[in-house]
Amino acid sequence: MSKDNKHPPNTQAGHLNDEQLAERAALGERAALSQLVERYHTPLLGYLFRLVYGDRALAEDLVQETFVHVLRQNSYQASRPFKPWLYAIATNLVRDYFRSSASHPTQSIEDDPRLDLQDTSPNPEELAQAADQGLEVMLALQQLGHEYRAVLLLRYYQSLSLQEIADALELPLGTVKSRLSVGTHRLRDLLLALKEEA
Amino acid sequence: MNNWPSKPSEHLTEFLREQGEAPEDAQELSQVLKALDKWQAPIPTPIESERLSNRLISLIPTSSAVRDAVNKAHQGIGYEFVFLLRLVRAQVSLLKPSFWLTSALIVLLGSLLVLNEVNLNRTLILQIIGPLLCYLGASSVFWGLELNTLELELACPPSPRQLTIARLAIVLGYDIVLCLTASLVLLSQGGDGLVALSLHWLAPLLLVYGLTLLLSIRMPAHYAAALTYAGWLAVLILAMVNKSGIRSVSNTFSGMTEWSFGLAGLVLIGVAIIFLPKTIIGLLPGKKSELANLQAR
Repeated sequence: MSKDNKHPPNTQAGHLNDEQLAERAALGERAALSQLVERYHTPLLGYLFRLVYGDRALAEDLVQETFVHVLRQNSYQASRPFKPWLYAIATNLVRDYFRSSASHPTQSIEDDPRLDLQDTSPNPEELAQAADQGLEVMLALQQLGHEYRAVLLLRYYQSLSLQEIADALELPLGTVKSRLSVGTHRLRDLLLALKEEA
Repeated sequence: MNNWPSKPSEHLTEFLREQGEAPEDAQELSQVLKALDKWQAPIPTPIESERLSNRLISLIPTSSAVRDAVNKAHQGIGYEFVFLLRLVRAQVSLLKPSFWLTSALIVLLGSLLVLNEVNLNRTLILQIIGPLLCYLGASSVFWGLELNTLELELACPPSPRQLTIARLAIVLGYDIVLCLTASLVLLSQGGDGLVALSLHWLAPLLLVYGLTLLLSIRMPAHYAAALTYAGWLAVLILAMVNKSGIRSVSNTFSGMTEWSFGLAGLVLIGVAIIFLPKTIIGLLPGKKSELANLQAR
């Protein structure tokens, strides 16, 4: 029996929704897995890249680890929305990563040469250049707490609905709204402060 | 989807409204949120996505007709219960015939002593004999560590918790059956009712089982059983001394105390079932030396 017989390709995988694809991938269907990767590689990398302060290599590793977790969850049931579940896994992996003392975010931030802007009193030109490159936004998001950063990223970069964010972060809907509101206001203040410095 | 192509202002305003912002703030905040667009994330190339897919494909479970059939059977209603019953049946073979016979003989001896009204407090006899069954049972069934088969047990499909529950079900079940049978026989002699009579055996039996299992988190089961049983005898002696000797006709403990012993025993058994499987790996020979090294440091 050929390998293809063991994992029959499904030519209609593209028409299936995320939940059906996840269920089929967990049962060993390659086409379903490829389709899931195709759909979620880019958004997941974007989310994790921003959640780990722009460290692409780390974000790539976490994307792979997230998919590995998806595949190992044999108990996945199609009745459960896939997208919030996927982001829940990704968020928990980042949280676990930062919890380990060796990779504490404050250390990685301090060690990150791109963030020398904070410590070395950059001149206005440098700050203006940084703003153009989005580093200003990155700095502002970094200074938000993890709880605010995650909801803002999921909402305004990943376009998740409030309910999906609540499911992904296992928070009540009201908490999601309040964190979004507080996070948005804090972000405004941080960006203003950075602009004033520039 | 990922890099957030600039959203029209009305979308942002709608998002801000959903999160409860006042309309007068929405305009200003939407400008703030537009700034997020400046921080772009990398976009993986199709080749990178394909590479990721290929790496993941090696991890996806292989399916086969046999595996599918097994999975289907495992998802059936009540499978876990059936599995536990099968496990119990398999664990019975661990127990030597001497366990079954000795336990029965101990109960028989105790019953005869009570029936012949030897010059002892009959409650005391039951309270000595009940926990003795625990000593026998625990040291007969939880002996993987002494046989150096613990590692093998941990490698088997049933989890340590399932094994603990199955083995406990056998020895405790057998002891309870023996005690209840003996209680029915003794009932014919009059005196205490069936519940009170059974409680004299069962309450200390459960308490000693609970303590034994809890101690076996730290030491081999037969040491734990011996230590607990010795402790129980010491408690009995102290209680009898306070009650004017072993020939006193009054019960060693009040009914309420016995109920408390029984309930405490059940709680301790529950706690042990939760923690024993988690800590049992620390009892492995290699792990023991690792732990000792760590403690020495």
